[in-house]
Amino acid sequence: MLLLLEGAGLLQAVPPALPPALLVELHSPPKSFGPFRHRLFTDGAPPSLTTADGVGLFISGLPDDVDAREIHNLFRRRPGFDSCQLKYTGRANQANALREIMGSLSKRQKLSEEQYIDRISNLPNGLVTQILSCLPTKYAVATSALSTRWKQLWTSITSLDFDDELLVHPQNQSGNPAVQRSFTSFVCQVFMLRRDSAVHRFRLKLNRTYDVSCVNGWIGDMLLHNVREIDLSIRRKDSTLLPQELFTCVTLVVLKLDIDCNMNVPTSVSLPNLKILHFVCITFVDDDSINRFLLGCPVLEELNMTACVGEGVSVINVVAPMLTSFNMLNVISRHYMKPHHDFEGRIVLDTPALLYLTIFDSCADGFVVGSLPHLIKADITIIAEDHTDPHISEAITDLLKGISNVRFLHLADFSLEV
Amino acid sequence: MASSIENNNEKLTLKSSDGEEFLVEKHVALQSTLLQNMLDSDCSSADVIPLPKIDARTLALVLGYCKKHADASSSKQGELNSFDSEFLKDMDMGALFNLVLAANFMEIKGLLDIAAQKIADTIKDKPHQEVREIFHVENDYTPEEEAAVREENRWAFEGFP
Repeated sequence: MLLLLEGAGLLQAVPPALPPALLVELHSPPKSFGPFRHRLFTDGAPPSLTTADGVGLFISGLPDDVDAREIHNLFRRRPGFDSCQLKYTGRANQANALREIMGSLSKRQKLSEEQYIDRISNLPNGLVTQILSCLPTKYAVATSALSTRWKQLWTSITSLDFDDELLVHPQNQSGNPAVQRSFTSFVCQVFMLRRDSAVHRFRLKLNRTYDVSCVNGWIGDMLLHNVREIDLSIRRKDSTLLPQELFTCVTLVVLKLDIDCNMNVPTSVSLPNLKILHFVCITFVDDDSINRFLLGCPVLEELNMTACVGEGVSVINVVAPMLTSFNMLNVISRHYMKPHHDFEGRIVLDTPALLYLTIFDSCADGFVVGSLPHLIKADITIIAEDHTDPHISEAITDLLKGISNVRFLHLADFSLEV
Repeated sequence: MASSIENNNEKLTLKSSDGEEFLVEKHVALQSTLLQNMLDSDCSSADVIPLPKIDARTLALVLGYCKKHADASSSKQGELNSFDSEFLKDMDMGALFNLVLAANFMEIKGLLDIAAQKIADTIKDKPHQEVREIFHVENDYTPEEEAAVREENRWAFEGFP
């Protein structure tokens, strides 16, 4: 028996009784993720024993009655075991054992090779771009470091999604002006490097204060690129002026505004393709501004309003012939914990195509519901403060009369028994 | 009405890359813009339509998705959404890549969107070194080149090691 082993530690469990005439060679430097390859030499061609930088294992003496399991144990995969060559004499049971083991090995090898194929880099560019467009832009850009193939792929993304929370080192908490600077340069770089293609979706989530002209510049740039969806979530106390072009963008289909400020609505609003509109926290200061906005959206299908009514508003006319879904959250009473600030006006629904209606409020007053012949589902939750007040029961009854033909009604009241 | 029922019962045969044939109702096949365009042109539904890039296992998955979406009425959007999220759950990466390629080839927008999103979710929140390992992307940058790319896009790597 002859055992020659270089690079000890790679094959740890060599069986003690080694058979005659088995030649094993391990060579080539270990690759971190390459598949384990076996090659079997049965033609007697002597394999080279050593390579310049490899490790070689030479074993001779394989018993005639060796079985497949023993050979498997000898050659099974271990860290750093990249390939081997094997020579055998072809005596007695050896051939059968080897045939058996090679059959199962080639099946397994095929499987393991499939596992190690870089499928994502081999996708067509358009598909990679679509995948990257599903990501927050930060992660899309970070793929540039994967390999040379990925260096420029992100620049074709069709969706931009920025969130300043994502950019922050744990040690860079709020109040550090470096965060704002870093985020601003991040967004500016993306705008500069990305290809001049259409943008489908633009999402901007800001938890800190940024220069208004800078933010408006980004939004304005998106409006020039035929953007279809704009989602702005801006937390700041001072008044934010949105660019006036936002109110006349013909390509816009989805507009979501979650901005803690007073809404300055220009005299002319024209969003001819807008189907989905969400207002959160944004405050309309008078009747004219909110009604002018809604009249500028003739094909609106979904409207969400959350706490968006200022004290100067008395009558909201929702005239929307194609509206199918309308959700109102604390619209009547913006601050339901402070009943004295209740909005004492009315919301008039002229929405003949409505299918779904959700109302969550502390007050059932003021909902003037027109004809809703197609209404499928209504979800009404009224949190009344004073359940002895007969006025509230009356108001709820009036509201229910308006939606009496609904197919599914979910009614919840946290303090009132109707 | 009668003619639309007749059309719904019409079937066509799709053939996978590994030779398996699938008999599909026409309204299910119409979920695919590719097949829709083929049917709109002179292609007869009596012909077998070969899909040389899609194996039988993937095609069966694709047609399962199409059938669910073709049969559900529009008012059951919630049900379809939960079907979609269950559909890709626990799917291995290999099958997912086959599926995204098939959806792209057959132009099934809804399926393409959810499969692309699923792959994107795997990339999200991970440093690029980890993404490389997950997808077996071979790094062919020299250390200097990689450092230069990271420096150029420094802001994209903040918060990661």
